[in-house]
Amino acid sequence: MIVILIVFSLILLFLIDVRQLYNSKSRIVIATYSVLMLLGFMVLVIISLDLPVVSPSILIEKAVKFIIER
Amino acid sequence: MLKQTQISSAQLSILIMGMLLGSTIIILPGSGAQENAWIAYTLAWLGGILLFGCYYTLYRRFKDKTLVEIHRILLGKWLGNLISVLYIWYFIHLAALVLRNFGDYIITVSLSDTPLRFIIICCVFATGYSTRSGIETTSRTAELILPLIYVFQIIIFLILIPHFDLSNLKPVFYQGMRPVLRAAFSVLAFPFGETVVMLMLLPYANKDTNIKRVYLFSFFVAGLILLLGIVRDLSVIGASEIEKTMFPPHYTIQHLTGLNLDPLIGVFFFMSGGTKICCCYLAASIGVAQLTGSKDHRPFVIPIGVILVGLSIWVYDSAPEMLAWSKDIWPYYSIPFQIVIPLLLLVLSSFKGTYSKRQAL
Repeated sequence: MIVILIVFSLILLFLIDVRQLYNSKSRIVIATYSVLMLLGFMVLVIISLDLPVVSPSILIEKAVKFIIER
Repeated sequence: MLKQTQISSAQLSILIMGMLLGSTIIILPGSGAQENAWIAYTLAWLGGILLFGCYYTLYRRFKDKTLVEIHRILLGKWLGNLISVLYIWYFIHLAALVLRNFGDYIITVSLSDTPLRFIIICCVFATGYSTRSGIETTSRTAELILPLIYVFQIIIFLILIPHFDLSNLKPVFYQGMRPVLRAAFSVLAFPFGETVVMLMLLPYANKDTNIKRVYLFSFFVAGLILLLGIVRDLSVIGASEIEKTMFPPHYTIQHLTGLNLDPLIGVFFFMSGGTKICCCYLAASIGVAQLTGSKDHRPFVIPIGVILVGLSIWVYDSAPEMLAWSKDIWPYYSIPFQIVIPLLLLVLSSFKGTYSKRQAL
């Protein structure tokens, strides 16, 4: 249910941008827009369903500690 | 990308001040140095001016170019774009951090039953609208509301003077220089080094703007306001209380009997934090637009906003975890973005000659 709600919200938001994307007539702009939207959708699904995906801050923390401890 | 929109010196100055005050206004920068937080902060303040020197030199060598464009000129298309993507991530992460700060502050202080998601979505709507309207609108809004912070901060400082216990600022260097230097480094990265974001926005300033003067003035004024805040919090509640408190300014204000100025701190934060989020959000949107060769940053505002909402909730489990992370990890994580890459770009530009010289050839 929550995923459907997210998809519906994102479609609504997409409708705001449709005209500008159409006017841009650039494939790279549309592709980048789609990738960003997909990323946003994935992050929203992760937090909404509480999926056990490691947060970027933990990965950054591990990387920083690894470098400092060396 | 055409920089058709232009902002005045005053607007640029307000944006820089907003970037510096940001969420720093609700926490105590340099609290790791305990009673010497004010020394750590002052050292970082001086260090911040040195960092600015680096950013300013880079800007002067590539006038009218944003960081993304500078990367392309100096590092080539592929490596330049890769570094730009990393910077865009950094700007989004910074905005998410401030956003989360904002949500946690609201929940802790006033709306404890409101879901964090709701607060963050509301904030992204407001800042997203401002970002979509462009840098001119963002800076005009900031110009209207940000000066109020100075007025109220000074009034609060003056009202609290009878509660001051200046012995809380001593002993000096009781635990040696190490904790002070460590705290100074932390403050240098947050908030002074974060002005690297401005490298994306400086080309939008009017041609007659004296960037150096504007930058130094903003550094001085915003820095002074933050220093006043540190001295106030330390003098009123002391280092040991600050250690136990998540948002010291909020706790300090509560010492005023008969006056409820609590909400003012929240309003300050909404003003300065909102400006900071807008700056980072704008920098990320403009960066993506320039990477894709688009003349308009607006199509990317909504997708970045969606990412911001998710990321600000996903990155940290709780407010204490977020504060600890921003104190212990953020400064080290920021080194490449705030110091290493700008210095590297500066060295590279010296080797390659200034952009204008090459253009003349």
